[in-house]
Amino acid sequence: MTPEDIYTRLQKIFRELFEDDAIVLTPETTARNVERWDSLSHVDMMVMVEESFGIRFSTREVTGLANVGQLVQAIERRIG
Amino acid sequence: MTGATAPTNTAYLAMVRRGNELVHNTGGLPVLEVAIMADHATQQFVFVLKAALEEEGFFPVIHESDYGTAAFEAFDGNSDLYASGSGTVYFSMAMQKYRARFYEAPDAAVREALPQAFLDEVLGIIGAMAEKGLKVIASNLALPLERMFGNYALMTAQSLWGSVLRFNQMLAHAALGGMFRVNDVMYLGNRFGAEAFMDERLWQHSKYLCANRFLPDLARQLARTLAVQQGKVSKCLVLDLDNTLWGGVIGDDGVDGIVLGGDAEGEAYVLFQRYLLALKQRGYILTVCSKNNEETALDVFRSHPEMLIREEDVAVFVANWNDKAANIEYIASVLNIGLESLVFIDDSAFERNQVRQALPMVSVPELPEDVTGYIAVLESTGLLEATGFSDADALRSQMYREEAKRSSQKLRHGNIDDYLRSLEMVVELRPFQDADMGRVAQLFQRSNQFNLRTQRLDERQCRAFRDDNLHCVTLQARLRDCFGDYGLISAIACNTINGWLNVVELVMSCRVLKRGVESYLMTQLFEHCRRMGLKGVRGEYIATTKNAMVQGFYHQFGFEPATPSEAGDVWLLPVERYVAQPTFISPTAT
Repeated sequence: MTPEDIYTRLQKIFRELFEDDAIVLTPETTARNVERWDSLSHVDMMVMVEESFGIRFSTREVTGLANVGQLVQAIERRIG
Repeated sequence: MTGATAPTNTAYLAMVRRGNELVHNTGGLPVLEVAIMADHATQQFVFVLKAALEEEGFFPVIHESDYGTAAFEAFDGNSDLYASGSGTVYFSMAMQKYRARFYEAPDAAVREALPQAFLDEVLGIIGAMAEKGLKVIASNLALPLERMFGNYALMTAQSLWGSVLRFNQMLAHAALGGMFRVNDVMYLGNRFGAEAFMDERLWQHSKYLCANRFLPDLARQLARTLAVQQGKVSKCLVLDLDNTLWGGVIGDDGVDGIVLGGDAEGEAYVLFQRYLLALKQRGYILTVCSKNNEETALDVFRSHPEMLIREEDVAVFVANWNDKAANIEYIASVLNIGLESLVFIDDSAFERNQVRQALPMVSVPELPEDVTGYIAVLESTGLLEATGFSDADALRSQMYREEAKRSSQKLRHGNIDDYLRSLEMVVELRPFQDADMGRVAQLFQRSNQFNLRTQRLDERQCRAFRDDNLHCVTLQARLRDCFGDYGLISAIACNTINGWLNVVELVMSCRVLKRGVESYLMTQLFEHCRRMGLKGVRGEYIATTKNAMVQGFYHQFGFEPATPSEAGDVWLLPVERYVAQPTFISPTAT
């Protein structure tokens, strides 16, 4: 799976979860750029990503990723 | 997962979204208000619970207490909890919070006493709320992974495992007193497995009781309890036969060819039948609705050695080629229970969908392909939720059976005459008897619908009519048929006016309508006229708000209207003009 594939799938998850079809993910995207991305929906997003990619994040990853770029890196690490 | 659908985050998020949308009661559903009080985070759970309550047919209004303030809210009479006006509180406890208390215990003695000490605290909070009139539902604790002693943990409250088990047991015992009900989170955690159910990351990050994807099941389980409190109880299973109670198709395979007992699949059908019989013992009504020839279907019940469910376990047995929705409506009407209390169990997706479309109020669980998954699915639906268990529950099925047998026999027979003949009705007709005078008077007092003049004769008046046998005729009728005894079902008091036999009062129990009893009785009255040399029968109908049913009573026998009296319509029919209508009732030998 290429990084582009990961971004495409992530973007679909984000658009659906945060109910905004205009969301375009870049490595720099953070919670500040997405209106409905708050601490509550963050957990929903992370477990949704886990389910979609068939992976499990560590506690540090669940709580500590700074932006979408880091999220994609974490996914890449786990799907090998 | 053998049968039920595995929980997913996708399904969870769909419910969160639905719950979010439930702001205005646009569907006009009955409102159900619940306050949530928890020692863990509940924001997402509230949305999921809203969606679950909507599935149960309610518009949810949920009041969420501030996280962790349960005790303050409960003991403060002016708190938001009591101001909210909710009738019900869900008090949810996280095992992880209990775990913290367990670890904080300074020594073995305190640890040993923790289940009881924690229970006392919980009961204090619940008691305070119950005292203020709130209905309380308390969660129990999910079972932990931590045993610390291995298998020995089961034996000691010094292990978290043993401690939680004890607390849950004590809580259940306390709930038997009726002060509150339990939402069995322990069961759910067990169903999915503790490693999956609890997500330690989410607890540490946001104090989530369990992984999000299990919230729908948790919410639905609670919603069922709330719905049952509102009277939405399911009472009756409507069972298909082929590939539901046994494998294969009886019409094609024959009694020797169906799969029931013997091999692995056959044993699974036997187990399912055992389970259904246990449900019957706990008060569930079992009925059958099958597309089959009735005799073919019954043959399995009568002659298959592994068939555990017997004919007499089935309250209503319907096997024919009508569509199932129509048959299910018939079953509900025979049992006189609402369609919403029926659960339809059928392996065929076609039949399930037909019933869902035609009768949306009937519960129709989605059965898996394999019989070994049937029980898991039925359990996962929450439809078996009960409020309690009493001796009456164990007898309920039997109670419904006798009456249902009569009615279902009606459907078996092509026409009403065949049905009535099959009942083998016998009427015992006598003048009012001293021993029965109380019951006769009671019939006059209580009959409202099948009551021609509503004279409310009391025991003394009844006796006076009976004793004046020169001028009066009294008749009491007792009916029984091949299914049982109905007891005293009709009473008639007559005197004579100007050479006519005058019906002063005639009442009949509505339970025996449409069986020809009234025709039989009328013939008896004319017999009396002949014997006594009277001109005929004179009847009167006095209308009340409840007896419209018998407005045309005399007309149907060919009576002619005469000059009305002050009270009502008067009808006359001379003896020679009376034509007895045929009935299927015979007199007793006495």
